[in-house]
Amino acid sequence: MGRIAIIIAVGYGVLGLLVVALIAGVVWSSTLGRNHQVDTRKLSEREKTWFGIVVFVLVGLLFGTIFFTPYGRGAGPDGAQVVPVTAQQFAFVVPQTTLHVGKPVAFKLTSKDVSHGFAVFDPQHTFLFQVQVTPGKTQWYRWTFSKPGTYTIECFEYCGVGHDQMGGQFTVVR
Amino acid sequence: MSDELILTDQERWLAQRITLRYVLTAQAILLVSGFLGILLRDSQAGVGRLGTNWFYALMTAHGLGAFVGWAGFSVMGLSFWVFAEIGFPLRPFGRVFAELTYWLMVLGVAGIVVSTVVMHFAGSWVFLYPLPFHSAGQWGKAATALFLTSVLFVGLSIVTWCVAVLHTAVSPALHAVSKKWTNRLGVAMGFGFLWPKKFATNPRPVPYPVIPLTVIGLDMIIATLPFAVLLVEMIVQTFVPGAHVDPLLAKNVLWWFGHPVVYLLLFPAVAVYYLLVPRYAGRPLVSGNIITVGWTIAVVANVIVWAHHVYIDYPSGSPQAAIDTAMQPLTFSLTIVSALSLYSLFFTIYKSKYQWNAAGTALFLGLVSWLSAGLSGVVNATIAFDQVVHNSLWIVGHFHQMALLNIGFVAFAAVYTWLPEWTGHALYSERLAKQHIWGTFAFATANTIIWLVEGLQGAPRRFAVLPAGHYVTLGQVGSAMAIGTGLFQLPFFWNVLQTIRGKTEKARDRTSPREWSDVTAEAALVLVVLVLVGAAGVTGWLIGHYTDRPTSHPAASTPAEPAASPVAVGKQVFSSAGCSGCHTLAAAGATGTVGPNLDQKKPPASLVVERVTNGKGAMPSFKGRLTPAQIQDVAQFVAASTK
Repeated sequence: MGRIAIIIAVGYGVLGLLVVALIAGVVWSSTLGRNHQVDTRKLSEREKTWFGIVVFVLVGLLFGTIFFTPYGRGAGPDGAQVVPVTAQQFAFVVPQTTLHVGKPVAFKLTSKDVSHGFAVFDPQHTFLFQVQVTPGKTQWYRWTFSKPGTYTIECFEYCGVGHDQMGGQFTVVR
Repeated sequence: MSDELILTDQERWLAQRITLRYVLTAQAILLVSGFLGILLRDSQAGVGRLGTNWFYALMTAHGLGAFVGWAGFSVMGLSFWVFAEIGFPLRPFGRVFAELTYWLMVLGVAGIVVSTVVMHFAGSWVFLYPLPFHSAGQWGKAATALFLTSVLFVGLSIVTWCVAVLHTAVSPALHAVSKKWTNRLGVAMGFGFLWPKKFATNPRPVPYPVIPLTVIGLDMIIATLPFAVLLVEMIVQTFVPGAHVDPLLAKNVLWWFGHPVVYLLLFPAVAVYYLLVPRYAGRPLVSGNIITVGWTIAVVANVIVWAHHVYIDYPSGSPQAAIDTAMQPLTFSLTIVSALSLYSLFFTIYKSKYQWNAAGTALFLGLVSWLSAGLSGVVNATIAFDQVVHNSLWIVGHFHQMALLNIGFVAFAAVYTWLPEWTGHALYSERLAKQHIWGTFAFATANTIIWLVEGLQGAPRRFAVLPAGHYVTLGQVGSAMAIGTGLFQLPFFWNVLQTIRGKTEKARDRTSPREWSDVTAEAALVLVVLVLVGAAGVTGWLIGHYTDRPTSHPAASTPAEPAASPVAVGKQVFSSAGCSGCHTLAAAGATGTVGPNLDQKKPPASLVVERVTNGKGAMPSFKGRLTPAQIQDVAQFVAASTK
């Protein structure tokens, strides 16, 4: 798993599901006891506090993540090595150019027919990044590879019956 | 609530007849689309593999069938019953639209089944423009036109449902003081809780279940109309190839509808929760006026958050990146209504004398799933996270938890609560109902968790066959969980059938009362199953991780074996370069039907070299992508294996 996937796995898979289990357990067991005294009016009023907490958490998450959007990567070549990639049913046509570790690459992605998804996996098959390729548009994606080896491409947008066969690969050297 | 039951017998009979028809038809659709879902999960795991065209055609049918035809159709029908229960009759005008909705939906679903299962349309339920016109020879214009027309019928059905719902919501039963329909609409959206004078009601405030129904009734009209225009354009384009729409615009229009349609399922389900949870808890809904703020945000935000489905589209020269960025805070704001509703519903149950019968249990487990799916939804709503999980199996896990385990469970709870009243027969078996609920929860939850894990490992969604050598063990466990989920629907269908037939199960002799209550025992059982499944999954993953060394896309550029013959290398090139996506070649196990069948054409090596190097027509040029040596090798392989 990549770094972001690990963050999600811990944040959702561990913390999130613990919260879910805790709430479910507390609410469920509270109905089984003998004490059914609860001030529902007070709970209704406290919903405002809960609203405040939710807004606070969401604003926190927003500011914690919004600066990590990938949109800067789509800005254009910006001095990187340009690699034009044509997507079409059912292949990614990548020119045979030598890519180097540590040297920025700008993929210039276009599609000849339908929408495709350009997803790249590292030599250990760890997901690196993905971006959509919409026909009639030019999509850029800048990336700097950090290790040598053979990278695989998989199509990440359903593009017809050959979709799962649609792939490709390229090599990065030192 | 007794003071609100002011419907005449005739009105009540009418509502129950219409609701029963919707709900039973939807469950019949569940039978078919659920079965397709199991076939797909098994096929992906290599258990009974379907041909690729079959896989994608059935995937298209399953998606629309289960999502709209079952979950959507169920709660659309239940809405009329919710109204009836809180004293809002379906008046003649609304009734006409409710009938129209039913038939448009039935025709639409039937057309979708024919165009996919019989005519092999396989564009997936989102059929991203212009994919329907690029079938790669797999389906014809007639299939495309029938499919698009059928989806248009479903869309119109949603609009007519909105008309029926809004007409019912603003009825005299609302007790709004104002006679103006715009003001009444405000009352129905709960504005009276915030501005009691301007949106006055007499004598009682608007019942809570009316609010989500009004909100979605308004939103789905706004959401569906532009989509209907796109569908008409696409139907025209099927026959007039000159017609054209900007594909990025079309994507945005699709999701303009595609996002709110999720809430066509969720919001009516919330109305059922608002009605039934207080009933089983024996106390009114714990809710402050603030919940109206949530719904006011929802009615606006719901129709302006579509672009979170295109977070990873930001081509140069388009404003898409800015739109997408704006969608993150907007999407976040939309989670507030879920957060408030969950607060209200959980605290309504908290320390109450909650009835843990099958229906009450289903509602509770539905809420738990809603919370869990809501949190994974926050991950999807965050661009920095979405760029990883987008179009992965994570998404599939997220929405199955939302649609099957949350909305579906509301439908199950409603059936167990009201089927006796609709049919006039007592529920056949409470015992079977509980088994159904707990069994489905355990197996389907395990299944969705496996999807989430697979997604985080980079497994793409909508793959007939996942990249070779990966996700094998997880897929097989998931396949077993899907079969388990399916088997646990059998008591449901049997229960419904027997109830309709007026049968009752022979009471089981229970001489020794159990120490544990039924609920505790069954919940414990489910927890044990979940833990076992989790342990099995982790063990399987570990075994898979250390034994199945990735063999996917055998690298054509790395020498395979030191002394491999050109034919052997060529075979590897054939499978790694994607040739099998289009061509049939028995020797490579390739069954593609887009390009010429190589077994039949038997091309000489020289022709293969020429075509692979330069391409022709739909065939791309592989010059630059494969080395000349690799092209020679693949040509040798093709020639040798078709001699």
